[in-house]
Amino acid sequence: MLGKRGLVLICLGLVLLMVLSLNGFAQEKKWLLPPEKADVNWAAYKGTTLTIGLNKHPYTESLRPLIPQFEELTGIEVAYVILPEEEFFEKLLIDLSSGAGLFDIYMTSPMFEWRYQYAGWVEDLLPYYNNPKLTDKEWYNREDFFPLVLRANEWDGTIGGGMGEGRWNGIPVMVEFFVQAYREDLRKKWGLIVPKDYPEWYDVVTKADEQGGADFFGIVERGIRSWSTVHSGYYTGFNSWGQKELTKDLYASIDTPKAIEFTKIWVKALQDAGVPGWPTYTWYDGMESYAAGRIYMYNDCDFFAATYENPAKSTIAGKSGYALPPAGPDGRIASNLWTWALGMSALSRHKEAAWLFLQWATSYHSMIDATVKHDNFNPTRKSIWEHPDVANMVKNWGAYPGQYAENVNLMLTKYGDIRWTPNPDVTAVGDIWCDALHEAYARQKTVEQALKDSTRGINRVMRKWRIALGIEK
Amino acid sequence: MHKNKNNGHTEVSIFFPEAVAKIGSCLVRAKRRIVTRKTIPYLLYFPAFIATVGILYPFFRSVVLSFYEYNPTYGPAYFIGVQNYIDLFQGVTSPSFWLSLRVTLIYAFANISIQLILGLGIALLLVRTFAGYRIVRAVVLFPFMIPPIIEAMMWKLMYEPVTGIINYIGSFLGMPRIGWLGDAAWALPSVIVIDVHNFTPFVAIILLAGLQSLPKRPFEAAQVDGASSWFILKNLTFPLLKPVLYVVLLFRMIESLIMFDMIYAATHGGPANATMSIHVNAYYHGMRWTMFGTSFAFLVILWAMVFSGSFFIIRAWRKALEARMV
Amino acid sequence: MSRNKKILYTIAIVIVMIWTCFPIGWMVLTSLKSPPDVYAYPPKIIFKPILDNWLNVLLGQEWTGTAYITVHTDIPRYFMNSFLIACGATLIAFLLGLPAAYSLARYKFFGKENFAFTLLSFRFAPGLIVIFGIYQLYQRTGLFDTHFGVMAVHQLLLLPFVVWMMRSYIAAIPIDIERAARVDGYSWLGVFTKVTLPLLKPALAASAVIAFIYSWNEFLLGYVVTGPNARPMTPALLGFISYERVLWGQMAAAAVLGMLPSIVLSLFVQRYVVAGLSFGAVKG
Repeated sequence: MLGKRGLVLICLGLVLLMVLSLNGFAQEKKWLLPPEKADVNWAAYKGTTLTIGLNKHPYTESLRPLIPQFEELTGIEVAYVILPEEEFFEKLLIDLSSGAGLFDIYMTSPMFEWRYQYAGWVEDLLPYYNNPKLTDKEWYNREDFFPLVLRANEWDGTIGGGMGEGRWNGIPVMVEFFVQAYREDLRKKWGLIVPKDYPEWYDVVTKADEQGGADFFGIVERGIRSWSTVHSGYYTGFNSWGQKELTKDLYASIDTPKAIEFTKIWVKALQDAGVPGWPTYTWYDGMESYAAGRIYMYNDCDFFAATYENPAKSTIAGKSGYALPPAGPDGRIASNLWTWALGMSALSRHKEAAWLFLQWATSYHSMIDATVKHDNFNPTRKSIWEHPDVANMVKNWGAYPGQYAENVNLMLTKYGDIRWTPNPDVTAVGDIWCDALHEAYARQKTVEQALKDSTRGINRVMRKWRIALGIEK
Repeated sequence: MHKNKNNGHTEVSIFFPEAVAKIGSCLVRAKRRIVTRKTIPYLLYFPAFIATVGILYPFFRSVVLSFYEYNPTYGPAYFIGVQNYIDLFQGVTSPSFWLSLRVTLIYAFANISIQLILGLGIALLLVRTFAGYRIVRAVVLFPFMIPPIIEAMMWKLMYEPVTGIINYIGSFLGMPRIGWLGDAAWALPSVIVIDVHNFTPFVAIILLAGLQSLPKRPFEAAQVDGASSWFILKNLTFPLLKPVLYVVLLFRMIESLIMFDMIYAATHGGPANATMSIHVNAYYHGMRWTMFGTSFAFLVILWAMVFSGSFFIIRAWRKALEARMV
Repeated sequence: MSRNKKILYTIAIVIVMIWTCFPIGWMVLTSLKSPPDVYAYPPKIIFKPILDNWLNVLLGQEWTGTAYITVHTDIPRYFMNSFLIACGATLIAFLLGLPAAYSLARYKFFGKENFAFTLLSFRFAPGLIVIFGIYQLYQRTGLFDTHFGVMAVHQLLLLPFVVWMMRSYIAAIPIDIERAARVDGYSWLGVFTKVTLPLLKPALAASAVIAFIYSWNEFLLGYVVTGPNARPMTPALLGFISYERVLWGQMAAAAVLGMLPSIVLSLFVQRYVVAGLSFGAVKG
């Protein structure tokens, strides 16, 4: 029984809410406006030429057609180089290390930013962001970025910590987490469960492998000799078991008893239920095999769903389920995180102009197309993730409506983060670590021995930093 | 001196039109005082030499830096003497130098021997004329026209363990599914097969041209004498072909030892470092981990290996040539 | 040849042809496949061939399922780049290299072997050891991303090859032939152009083709010293490794396209190799 007063109160409350939200809308909507409306002198660096290094990526595809708009807006000329991932990083490294400074802006990621920050190759973006002459904060709306992803691109240079503090090295344009993508149709058919921990996971994939016959496999994982092999599904599990790759004293800790226990399950699953020749698989090979319907489970990026669910690219659209990664022995679920970002070269000779480009390119106005038209998942701005078109796109991905979005939200709020220890040599650590997985997989060494041998290699790489921090003489 | 001009025939070489020759001869007349019997060889040689000297700066810069702790991630470079080399020889780098040395030598040795034998065989097959021999000669050269990096990618598609054509054909022959490039035991042989497919035509075509430029008379004489084909091959073809053989050997050795594109595109040096050649290892240290000092030390050693290998081949080659000099 | 021998001989040639052609044939087939067919299992030998990959690569026409839309393709431009670069680089290599080869083959002079070896030793340098310096040098001198710059850097591969190859071919021609011509009253240059060069035709043609192919196929140096302007074909082929998949069909189409100039050239060589053969038969 509410009574008259109650009703009046509710009505008043509703009106108040409406007014507030309208008011909020009026205040917020500035960042929805086109760049011309921003309080930025876009034409300030007319006549400059910027060179941008881009990786082949849906985001790049969405950026390219927009560039003429930027050129018209600013009078700045933009030249760009687009290369596949490996070649891109290679060319970037040659450019940066030889001091030539061809690129003003490049695509990057936290694991690379850590190295570039120590090498002095990446510019801190905060001074540009805080410069009212260059930035309209209200229009740019930095707060719209998911804090987790923004934080991943900030580092104060403390080896072993300091993420989310200090310098702002890059503006995230996409973020991904590592989930279990599995065949929901076959799961039902074969009566399998969605594994909640790694022993279950092993059982499920081996059973699926048996059920599927000679040309069907239980799992695929990326396997090429690279840190990225460690980075995705493997590190996600490794960290779920409560493990980190480095101790506080920067010694390798990849051969702890728990790490060995997990690695044994992982390697055994690959041997018993995996595709033959696992170490040649790049992430796109794995994705392609899964999309061709030959694999039961792929523990890799969540956003591959955009390909799996696209009937033009996949034979299994609508047949996949997406689940959180299995938990560790004490119930911990933890996914690693990857994000592509745009950064500014410290060698650039047009830094202010470069900032204008960054501000323009990562504004809401420029980034919305990337997701809606070019499948750039997952978006890094809340407003885009919540955009009705985007919500509509992902609605039917997964075993039940909304499964995909639910997972991403859980990852963003609870389970996902960069699990690597911030460290400029992190890619070297990962590359060497990958050898251990290969050796154990090939049965050349036991898991213990293989991990122990890689420990030695990693310790040698990290020695320099231990000395620098006074841990080792 | 000019008697040779216009003696009725107007043969024009594609590569050196007569006009060039005329201008050349004018210049020769004008510079007779400079161009003497003594200076001619130097004058002929030096344009080529100078043209490649530009390489010396980048090269020596890297050699010098191999004596430095040079890792931009750590900070400015500083001199550390031969420490980088000591690290390599002690095998403390990861992957170790000795492992890479082994891979590199196996790769080069297998490549050179298989390609020379196959190449010579093909050249001997094709030196005869038969119906359609022109087509066959042209077709045999085709694989060499594929860039190594594309060749590697195409073979990767064929080697694909699940969907690849090779395992599919193998399944008819009762072979189990093999991981090929992803199998630690098979990876190196698999990459060698790619290289053999790509570069045997190079060996074959050069040896074929060499065979064709051999004088005919000794062969005719031997055939009249009723010598066996093996005897002819061993005692006539082989010795006569030696200079060309050595040069082919030289180039295949250099290229096999420093091969990078193909190995990296096919396997990234994996699995379990089965194809981690010195060049690929140097790539990891330099291009991925910015340990340029160590990377350059790897490369300088590789350079020295190629250098000494070439030295021996060239000595043998010179011996084979000596009889034919002025 | 006896009958048995003839059969063996034929079998050997057939095996060589299969070994040579199978991977290439597979590549050609791949260029005619739709993406699902590329990854199909069992591998499809009979399938519905499509020209989409070729249309995409050559004309920038992409089939969307209902209509062709125009997409951007740089392959024809990269093809021309490669062609210019390979021709130019080969020409430069022979202009500089042939005199040097002749000098090394026919004269004894002080320090000869050292000079020859030094030239060759440029070839020893693994690509990685020089690219940093070359990149820096090119950025400073403005050679970066120019066709001439790529031609110049390709001399690293071509020039030692041309010099050493031609040197051994020249050395294989008996000196007596040249001496006889000198006695007949030919000048030194006359001997070279009228006697030595015609004899060298097969070797010249073979080396020129190989030099051309070296330049055409070179990847690392061409990739490092170019941007979007002068980029040759080989690095551009990597562009078919897209974000989410390797566009095998288009890559195969572009790779087959990339082989065409070399094939045409090698057919051209055939004439010279055969001509050289008959010439040698008369004079030999």
